[in-house]
Amino acid sequence: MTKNDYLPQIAEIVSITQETTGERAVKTFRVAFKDKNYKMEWRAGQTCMVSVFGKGESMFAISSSPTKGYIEFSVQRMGRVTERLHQMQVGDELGIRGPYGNGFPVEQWKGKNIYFIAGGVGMAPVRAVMNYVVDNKKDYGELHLLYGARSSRDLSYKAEIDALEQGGAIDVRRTIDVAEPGWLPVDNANPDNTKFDPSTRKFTGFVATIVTAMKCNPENALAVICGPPIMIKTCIGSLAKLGWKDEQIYTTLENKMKCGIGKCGRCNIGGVYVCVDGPVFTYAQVKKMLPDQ
Amino acid sequence: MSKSILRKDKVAEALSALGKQSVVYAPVKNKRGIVEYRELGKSASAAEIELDGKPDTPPKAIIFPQTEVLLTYRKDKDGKFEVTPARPDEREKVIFGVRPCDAIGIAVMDKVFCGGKFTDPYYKARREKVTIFSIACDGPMDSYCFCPSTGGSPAATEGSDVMMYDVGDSYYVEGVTEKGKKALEALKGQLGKPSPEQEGRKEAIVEKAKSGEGFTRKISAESIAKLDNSFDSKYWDDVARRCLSCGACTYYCPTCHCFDINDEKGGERVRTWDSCQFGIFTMHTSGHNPRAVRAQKLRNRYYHKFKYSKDNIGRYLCVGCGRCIALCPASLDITKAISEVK
Repeated sequence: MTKNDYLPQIAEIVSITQETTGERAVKTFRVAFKDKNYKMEWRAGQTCMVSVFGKGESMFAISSSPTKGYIEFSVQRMGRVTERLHQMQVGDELGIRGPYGNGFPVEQWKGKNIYFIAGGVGMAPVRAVMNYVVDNKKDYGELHLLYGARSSRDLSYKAEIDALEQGGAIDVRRTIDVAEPGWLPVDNANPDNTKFDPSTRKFTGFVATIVTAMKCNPENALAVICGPPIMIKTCIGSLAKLGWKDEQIYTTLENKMKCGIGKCGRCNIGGVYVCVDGPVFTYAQVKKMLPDQ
Repeated sequence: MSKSILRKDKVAEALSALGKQSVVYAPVKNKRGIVEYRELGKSASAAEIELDGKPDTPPKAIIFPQTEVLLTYRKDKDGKFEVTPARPDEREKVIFGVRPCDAIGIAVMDKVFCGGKFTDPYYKARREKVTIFSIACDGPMDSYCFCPSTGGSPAATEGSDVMMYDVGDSYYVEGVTEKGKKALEALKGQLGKPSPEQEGRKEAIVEKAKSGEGFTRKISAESIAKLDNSFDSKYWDDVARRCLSCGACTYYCPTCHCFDINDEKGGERVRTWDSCQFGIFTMHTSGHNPRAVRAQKLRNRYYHKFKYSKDNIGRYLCVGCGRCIALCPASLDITKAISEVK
């Protein structure tokens, strides 16, 4: 029989990290295939169909970089599959098939300065590609991370990002929605008037406002944006005002999927299938898609 | 034997001969009077089968079942899982009496399931075992037919392994593919030599098909080209106001292939037909739904049929069978919608 892409490999949860808490908590699951001879190679930005047997399958971005040698998924508790996933323990088994999609074109990015811009659980795919780039730092230029969440408690990968920042691997700016002590409020209504002090690393305001305030420099640069649709839209607006071209801006999209291999017919945006043609697109490509969202 | 004659009174005998090597499906009228493809018993009676009109359902389900188990998963007492792929029905099958539009429908599904970067192994395993005997239509079968508008024709051979032409008291029979020619070898006892008159009648059917004579329902190439600029048309809202989102159009469509996958109690992962017209088809877990309203859903179906598929697989995802028009409880008409959009 032809290779069966619907057949998941059994994998065991080997560690669970509670990234954030609350009703919409995020946990990172590290998994290892039961069949020790089974190797999965992937590119940052690719996705996998994860089976929680009895509940179903859901598509998740691989949130670990291929340079790390382990496979992780960072999952927000949201529906039937993720609810059960969040109850699972180390040693429990999942099914995994993939990887799917195109991934980020990291080879084309060599020599560029990169702005990683993430909101909420949108940090998951950004984390994968950011770590890939950091682990190949000699090939790339200046690196920046702008990471926004509802509150400081909703920021994932805290220890990991702190370590990268302290090690000087990447310039990190964080922002939250509602002011907390130590988080400098910025003026969302007048982003152009916002003074940016390079020593300030924690803000209260929209990610798009920080993009404007930081004056992200388009020269020899590219941006990777992932987060809620409104955040992506506003950040692209901020970048455009700073002179960024559509081709310099990358994003990764999601849609409901059942097969992951371009057959089940639901993840399309116009004629583009997010599962096989994406999920990574430049903003120039997104603009060409029909306004089917 | 590539060109021969099968007398209509020998059809039952021919089906029995085919049945020796294969499972034979043919259009059969069920108790409610609906003509649908059924697996024939060992001794097929000619009275059972309905070869004269367009069957009410396409033969899609024989190759792409409405429900199928993809795999089973079992949990042992230690909580460890074992996954076993289901084996699709791999018996040799003949589908007898298919209309050209439906045969093209299968050719289109082949491009979807077996084309592109991934091949669907369940579809492919079944498809490879299927031989299709089609009957050319002598003009439109009913007022809903519009195959010439979609690149088809009443005598199109695409997707068919054997073509049959109704020449009166007989079918003129021609092998199209190697598979078809091989299948005809089993019918040596039933096939005869065509007379010049029968040759002539067959040619007349082919010529008539080429002319597109008799078709009143149409979608013009200009109308299809207009889709490029009418995505944001308010017209879609007007059309969709009547739609009930029942999904009948998709279920009876020879090319609609969208599906869902779910885990059922008892450890089966099941694939079922789904419909882009259903409310939660594209709904994210978060509640966000990129195609939330009927106008968006209906527009997506029309664009998938006439634009996206043309761009992606080089062919319309509509074969002009007209079932979606005939069976729509709200009298929606894809030919009218695409022709009238501004």
